[in-house]
Amino acid sequence: MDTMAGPMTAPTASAAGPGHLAESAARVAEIAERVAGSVGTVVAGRTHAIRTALACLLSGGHLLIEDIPGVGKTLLAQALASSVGGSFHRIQGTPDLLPGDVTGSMVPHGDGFELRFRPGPIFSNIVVFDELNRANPRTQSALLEATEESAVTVDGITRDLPAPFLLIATQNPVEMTGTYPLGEGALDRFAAVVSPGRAAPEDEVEVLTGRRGRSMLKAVHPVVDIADLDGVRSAVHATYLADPIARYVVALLEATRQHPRVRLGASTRGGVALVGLAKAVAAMSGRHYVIPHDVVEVAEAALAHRVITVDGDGTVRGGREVVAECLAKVPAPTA
Amino acid sequence: MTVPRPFGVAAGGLGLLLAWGGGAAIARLTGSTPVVIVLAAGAVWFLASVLAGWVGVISVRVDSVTVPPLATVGEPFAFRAAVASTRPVWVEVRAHGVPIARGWSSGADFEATATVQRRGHLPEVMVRTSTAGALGIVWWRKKTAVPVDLVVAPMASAGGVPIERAATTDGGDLLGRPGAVAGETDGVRPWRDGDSERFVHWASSLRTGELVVHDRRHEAEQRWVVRPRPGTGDPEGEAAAARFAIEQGLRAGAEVSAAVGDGDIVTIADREAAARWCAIADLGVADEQRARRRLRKPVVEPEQTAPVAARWWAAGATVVSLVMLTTALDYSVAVTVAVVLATVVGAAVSAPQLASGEPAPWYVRILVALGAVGAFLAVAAGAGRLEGLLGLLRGPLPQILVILIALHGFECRDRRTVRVGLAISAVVLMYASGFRVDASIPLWLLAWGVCFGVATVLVARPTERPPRGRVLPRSFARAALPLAGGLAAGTAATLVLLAIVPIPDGPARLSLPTFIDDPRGVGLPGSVAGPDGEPRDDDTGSTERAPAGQAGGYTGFAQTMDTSVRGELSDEIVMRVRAPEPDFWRGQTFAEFDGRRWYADDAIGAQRSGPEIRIPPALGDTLADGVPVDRFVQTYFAEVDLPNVVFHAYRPTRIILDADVWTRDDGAVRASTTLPKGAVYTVVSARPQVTELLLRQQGLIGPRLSSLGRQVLAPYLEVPESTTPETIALAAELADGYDTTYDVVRAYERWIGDHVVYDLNAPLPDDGEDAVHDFLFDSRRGFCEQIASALTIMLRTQGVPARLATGYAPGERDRVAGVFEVRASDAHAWVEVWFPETGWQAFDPTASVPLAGDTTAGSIGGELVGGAAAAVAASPVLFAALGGAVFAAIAALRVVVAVWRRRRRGRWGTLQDRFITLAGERGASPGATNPARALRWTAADDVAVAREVAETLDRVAFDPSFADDDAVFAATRERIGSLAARRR
Repeated sequence: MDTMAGPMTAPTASAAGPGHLAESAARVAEIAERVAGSVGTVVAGRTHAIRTALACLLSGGHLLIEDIPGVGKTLLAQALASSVGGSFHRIQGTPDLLPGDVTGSMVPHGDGFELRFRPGPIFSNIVVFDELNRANPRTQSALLEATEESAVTVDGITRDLPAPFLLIATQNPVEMTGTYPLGEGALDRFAAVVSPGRAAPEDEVEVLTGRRGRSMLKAVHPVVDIADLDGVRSAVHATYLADPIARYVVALLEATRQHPRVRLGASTRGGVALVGLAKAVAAMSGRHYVIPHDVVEVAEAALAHRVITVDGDGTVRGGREVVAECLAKVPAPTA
Repeated sequence: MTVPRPFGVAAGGLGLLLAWGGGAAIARLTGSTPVVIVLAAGAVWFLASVLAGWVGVISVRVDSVTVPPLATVGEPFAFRAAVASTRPVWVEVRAHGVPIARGWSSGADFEATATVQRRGHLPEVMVRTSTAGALGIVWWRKKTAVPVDLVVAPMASAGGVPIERAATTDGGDLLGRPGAVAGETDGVRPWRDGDSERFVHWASSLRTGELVVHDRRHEAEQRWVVRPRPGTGDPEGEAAAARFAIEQGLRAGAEVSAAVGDGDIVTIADREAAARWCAIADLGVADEQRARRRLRKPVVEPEQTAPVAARWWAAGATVVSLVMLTTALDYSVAVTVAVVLATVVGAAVSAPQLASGEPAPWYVRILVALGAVGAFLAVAAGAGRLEGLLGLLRGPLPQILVILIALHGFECRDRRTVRVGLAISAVVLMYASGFRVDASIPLWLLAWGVCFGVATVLVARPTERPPRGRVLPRSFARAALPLAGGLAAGTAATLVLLAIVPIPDGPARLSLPTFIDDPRGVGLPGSVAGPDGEPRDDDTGSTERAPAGQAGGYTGFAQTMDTSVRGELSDEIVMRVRAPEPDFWRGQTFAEFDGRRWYADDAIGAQRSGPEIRIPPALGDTLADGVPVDRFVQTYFAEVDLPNVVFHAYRPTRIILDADVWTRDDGAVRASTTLPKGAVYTVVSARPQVTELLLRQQGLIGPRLSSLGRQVLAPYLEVPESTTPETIALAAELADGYDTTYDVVRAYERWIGDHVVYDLNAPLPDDGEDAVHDFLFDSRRGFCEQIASALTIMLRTQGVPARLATGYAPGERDRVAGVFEVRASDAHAWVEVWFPETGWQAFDPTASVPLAGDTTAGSIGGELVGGAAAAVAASPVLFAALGGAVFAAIAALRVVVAVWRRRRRGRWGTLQDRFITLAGERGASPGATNPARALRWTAADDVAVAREVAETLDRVAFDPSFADDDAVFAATRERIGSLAARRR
């Protein structure tokens, strides 16, 4: 670790100067705090999951929430969407849902019955897709293609999705019958997977007494304008990543590929997503540079679903364990 | 179950043991002290390696094992166990007594891929941890049974397991062929019994002329019962086939159940249930396969490769031992250089193979074989006639040894051969120590010991150790203290062991070394000859002093000796004597005195032929019954050309000398050749165990002599005519009142001690004056010859048989080599008094040699400690300076290391390292992030400080806009200092 990233190595992204960087990082931190506070009024506890979901939102990646039923997956998605202004749609995944139901289709219109495009629910800033694994593979892939390209092609015409565009999907890892588990490629498109997990006992009390939970969802108002999100995202993107940390990420990816339990290690796209999340976390902490701890904080969320273990059961549990082991094994860079 | 047991000895350990045995044999043969020192150090080293393994294995703790709940026969799965130990240990996991995973632990845990070869439920695994500590010789093992809950399913494979298949429609009719699979493509097929006429495909039937039915398999509701047969003798195969069949059924969407034979039917819900059922289904026992249980030697040491450095250190040990041998045997420089070169080339060739574990290339083998044959032929051709075992030991044996070692160097490509090479070098070292007696031995031993120690530790290093990630930067003291402590403890233990072991009393059977390289015959048989071979009969009447610095310059080694002449004797070492205790090394005795000059007997004595010569008792040498004697073996190494006088301790019984000798009645032994530099011979003496009491018991000797005795001993009773009445009166006066001759001698000695000044430059007596009178009454100055002469004559006046003996005083002891260094200036003359029961007894007022019966052999350890203490006491300033220099060197090294670290890591890097070390002491892993480290502190203020430190360090490393600031640095250093002060 001889590369002490000293002041000599000027970052390429800080054209506007470090002072400006620090300022925008502080603004990101402030916005993040507002959104987290807003979501926190609805979702009891589970701050790490909220933080990761927020990082995902700020880094411009799509989010998959995977957990058992009844722990507030959908609630988290909805609260997040409600806290951020902008259009919002929710799609419920079912086996008979067709691609056109998601992307929109050409419908006859008016006296001349000329075909006009009726946009589907995907044309909104935040799309919450419930029970993604219950939708059939055709719909899944149509959706994911749309998310990847931020555009939808219907009837030969490509139509851009609104910007910013964020997909929050949920799935239930327990009930696997009658589902279409997402393929590795599909999973790879999500920047992060979070499992909120059960709330702590005192948080559950809050939910049962109605001080938190779904009943509070109505009270949630956008705390940040959707237009601001663009600026926030560019600020996150400008967060400085030192070379040793990039090498650290690469070492982590390599470690997942070498792990004895792993059939397929994390992809380079996983590394990109990890760096994006780490930058977001750094900015949320008010820093204009990434430290190794940021990477450690989001590594499980960013990599677990990209690691296919030999004894995999369709959930990300095995992947989480592998990533945790890799984190323990690969030494973090220091000064 | 968790009792550590010794497991075995690493490959090559037997070679080291054999080398130790060989060394013990060499010690017995030569009585060489350095060999005993090496043996003791070897024994301590072995004990330490036993202890190291034991200490390593008792600290091992196996806590938990992580395995997946379900595994398949022959398919690897991840195995992880929490194996905590101070050093990495070798872990072997066994199930059903068969190893399933093995590898090195990291010190904190053990990760491997495991493969089980038998199906079934595994309630526990046996975790065997073994280690040999750092020294890597004696392996200890501990077995720990760890509970797991692992179901091992058979690997699915097609086989002839019976399957009952039923396919029914709603109405209960059979549909399609038995075992039709739902979801398969529709089609048509010929009619079979049991098909329903409802599904006849009429168009096809009309076309083909036979009944054709729809194969409506997708409508079939199927039920499979898989019935693996018990007792087939191959339960594993049957289970594998059952799993295959069940999975096939599940894929087909059938409702699958399974039963062992006709037993209870169990419904299988999914693949996992299938695997579990097949894993534990009781299908009987396998046919007793007469497993050919060959007695396989257990592999104690798991690895055979070693770091390259180990090979080079081993080569260093070999070079040291070989050079020590070749220089000891006076081989030419060319031979030494060739041997060193061959060793170096051999190490260079074999080191990569040691690291990679590959076999030697064919050309190396051929070269080694050709070299061996050629070298043997060359040695055989050059050896000529072998003269017995001695010739073999001196001549071809070391040559063959040297060649074999050099060739073996090419073959040192695994741990076994490296250790064997080290063992051989140990044998060579000890063999050479048997020959060498010079003062450089401690340096050779030290150099070899360092090479040997480093090589054995390096060769035992685990090479396939799992990466531990970043290693904590260790402080200098922590790295150096265990090493220094281990060395100090080892040295102390060796000294303690050596304190128990007595000094070897010489060759046991055969005196190994006796050779005379360049003998020079003595012209006159039985006469005394100088180193030049010319007879030394200094009957010239000359009073000139002998030439200075000449070894034989001492006038005592001649046919006659003038008491008024003493050669100017240098401090040159003339010979080394390997013996357990000091004694007089006697050369000559003189009987006749004319007042100035002593004369030896003219008789030439009896010729006896070497090399092994029995020496009969000389005149007066017979002992009374009951006088105990000891066996006292001395080996003489001539360091300069010596006369043909065969030095010996009184009373010689056997001389091993590569020449003929004349044994004389006066006790002297003379060889037929001179003893040139490099000559070696051994004398075995039987020393009467004389004590003061024994001598006193013999009373006054004069009156006890019979007339026959007087007659026989007449030459030793003769008082020269020149002896003055004053002398006689003095002798009588001093003897008065004593009733034992011993006391009389003591009284004379006391008187001389009180009244005479020892002076090497005593004035010569006037011509014609009696030398004894002159010494006793006129000059009262003199050296050993005057003193001994006076004592002899005084005793003779009292009727006591006495004579003058010349030779060497014992000399200074070289404690490591175990020899006495005899210098020319140790040449000496003393008195021998005859006692009726104990023979000739040496008395000497100037040199302090204790009576044989009063001496006790010390121990090597005692001598070494005593020697070191004496050396320190002799020059405390020097040793204090030396100690100070060592401390200064260590301090300087610390500074250098600190500066080097600082230069490499920068000032912030140094701070970061301190922070890592501090957090590591609190249990943080070396690869943790700085904020994670900060959480290791518990007190609230500490956490705040640590967090601030972590933030600053991360900012320094990763913030591009951080400007290095002395104030921030100072503050951070202070914070880390405060954290360090809180160290528990």
